[in-house]
Amino acid sequence: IHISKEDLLQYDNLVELTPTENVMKLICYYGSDPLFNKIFICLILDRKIYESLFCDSLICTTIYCKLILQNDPDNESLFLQDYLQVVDKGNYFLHYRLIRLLPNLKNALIERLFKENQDTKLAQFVKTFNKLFDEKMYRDLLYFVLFIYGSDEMPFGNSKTTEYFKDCVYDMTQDGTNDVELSLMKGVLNLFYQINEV
Amino acid sequence: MSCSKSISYVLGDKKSNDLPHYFVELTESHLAVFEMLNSMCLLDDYDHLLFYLECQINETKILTIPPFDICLILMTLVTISGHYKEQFLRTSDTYNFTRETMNNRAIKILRFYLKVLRDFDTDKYQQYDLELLRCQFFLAIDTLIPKTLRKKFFRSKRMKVDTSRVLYVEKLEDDTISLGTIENPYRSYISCLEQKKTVIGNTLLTLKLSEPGEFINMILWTLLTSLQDDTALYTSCHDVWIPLLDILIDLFDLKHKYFLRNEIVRGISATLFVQRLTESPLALFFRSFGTTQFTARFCEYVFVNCSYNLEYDDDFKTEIHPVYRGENRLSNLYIPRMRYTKMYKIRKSLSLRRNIVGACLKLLVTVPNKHILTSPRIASDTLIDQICVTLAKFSDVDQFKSFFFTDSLSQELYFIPLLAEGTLAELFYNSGKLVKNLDEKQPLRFMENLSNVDNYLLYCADLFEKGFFMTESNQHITNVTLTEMRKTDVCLLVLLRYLLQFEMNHAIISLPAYGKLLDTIKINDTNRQQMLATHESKIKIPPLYPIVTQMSQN
Repeated sequence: IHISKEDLLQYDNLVELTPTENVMKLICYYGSDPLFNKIFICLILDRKIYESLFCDSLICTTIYCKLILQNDPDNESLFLQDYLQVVDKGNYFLHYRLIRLLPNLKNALIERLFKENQDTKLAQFVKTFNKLFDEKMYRDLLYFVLFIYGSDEMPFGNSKTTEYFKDCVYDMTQDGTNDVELSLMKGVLNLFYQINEV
Repeated sequence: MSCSKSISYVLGDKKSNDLPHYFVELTESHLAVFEMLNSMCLLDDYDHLLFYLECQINETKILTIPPFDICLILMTLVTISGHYKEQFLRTSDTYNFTRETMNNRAIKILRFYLKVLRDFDTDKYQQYDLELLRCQFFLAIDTLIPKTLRKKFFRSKRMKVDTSRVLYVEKLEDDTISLGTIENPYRSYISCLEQKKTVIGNTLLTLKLSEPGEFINMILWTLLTSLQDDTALYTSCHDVWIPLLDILIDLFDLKHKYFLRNEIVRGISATLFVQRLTESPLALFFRSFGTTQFTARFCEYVFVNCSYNLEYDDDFKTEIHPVYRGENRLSNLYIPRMRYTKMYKIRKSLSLRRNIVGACLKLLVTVPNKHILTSPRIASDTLIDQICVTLAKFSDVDQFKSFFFTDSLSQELYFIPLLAEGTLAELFYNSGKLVKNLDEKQPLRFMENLSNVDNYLLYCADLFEKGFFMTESNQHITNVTLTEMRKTDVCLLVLLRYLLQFEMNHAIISLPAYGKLLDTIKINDTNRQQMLATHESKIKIPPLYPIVTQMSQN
């Protein structure tokens, strides 16, 4: 979907919005449109839609299953292909938002982003963590951590990798840096550490 | 396995020490989770509390179960809406890395758990976990309605000049926090509610709603504000109370089904059954509407703020105040962005009222024949009659339509057609059509004819031919007459829709009786157009024929 600068200039940030309940119902009528995947992605990732009451994982997953997947597992990879054309690979902020709304796509998306070559996925996770950490891209790091946890390769609870992540973050915060994302990460990792998968 | 059937781990009939039937004991692992959530709550760390629940929401391996006090905390969080508490929300969740407000997150979490309970999928989750989850939610809603009714009279006498039935007041006293504690049935778990009575400044929902008169006030406040134009008032109900009330009604419904299935001994006499029914969850819910003159009160409350004209024989008006202080004013930092059209508001509001009516009738459906529920004192016939009388007096056709046209026809099959039939009879009576004897109202015979499709359709066609759907030729056409006509159309459409739903096979279209009905409708439409033309009326009535044909094609 190509959006030009002129289109963006016409968008008024304080415009009145249609209630999201109606928007979600309306969007379903476009299910057969060839661009529907991309339309749907752009819609649910939009902040105003995402934060409303009527866009939650139940509704989004229902729409995804009925209109996109339609019992054909190939459609999932098509969907993810479209998704990666709209969203940049390194944009963990939006990846996290997507899997909050469509949690059944988490493992598939990770599979796509971290294709196994010589390293296992876990090794790639640690590599990415280190890279973002060293480059002090803490915001991306925070959303990266939020994104990968809970997947098959990165379960909750006590694990060596989690301990390693925690140690890195703790060391950094002891140096007295004021990055808010680091303290947030400390809290989040602690929480993940305590979740017990019985 | 369904939510009401599954009783493998409950206390059941071994109940003792006032522990409820659905009570399930704790295990170590769940106790650990309870305590973790508890500690987060005591530190006012709601952000992490919500996040902890959220990140495990769609895991199919584990089901994180919040204890009943956390359920109540979540429900109270729902009421902290940004429109009046923007500052407090911001200070409690400064970074907000999930980019959603806490009250929305709480609603989504509660909705998720409600879906889990409704589905009760024992293939996906452990049966023990599901029963424990159900126990927590049932414990939570048990605290919302006090078992003993403390009476509070909040209806005041109307002055002679006052025409409004509803008085919207500001609650002048401070939010006094009741010193009562919520009973905790678990010995190994210390509930956070012993120390915590407020959530970000709002009193815990239980303590708030169990004050005398507060529960019904909450319902009235929601219904009243759902048709308001004022942004602050409407936002209060749209973002907080409508979702919360929907969740509460669903929970009461689940609990009621469980009660009916498990807590009433089988094979008892009808009188005993009715007595037990007065202790059922839905009965307790409706007891808050008042026990004297239930029918009149119920209709008055359910249709509060709708446009209808009914002559009253008493001069009382109801006082309604905001549930939490300050809800009726927008905070300085809040910018309302949504535009809610009138039709949207009407649809949502009437849909909620329909739910409440449906819940009440659901309760009455189980009362055995020739018996009357004693507390609250309701007889289903009089209730249905009164509802139909009130509906027939609606002056706004959009509101009338929104009440009847529902998306989920199959779930509301048990009462919508009955109401449609009753209202249609009432409308005919009002316009003088059913007059044989002025005191007697003749009932219509749609429901009786349901088993025979031919009879049903012929009966409809018959009514058309007798001129029921047309005005008298010499009658003056006013707006009111046309409104009445449109309302009768709506009722007829509902009854036809019900028939089509009931008779799933599409052989109806090929029936000759159906063809006859369509012809009579066509003639009726032409007659109406002629009548309107002769009276030079500018108002139009949508023709029935295209609507009916479209309905039958779906």
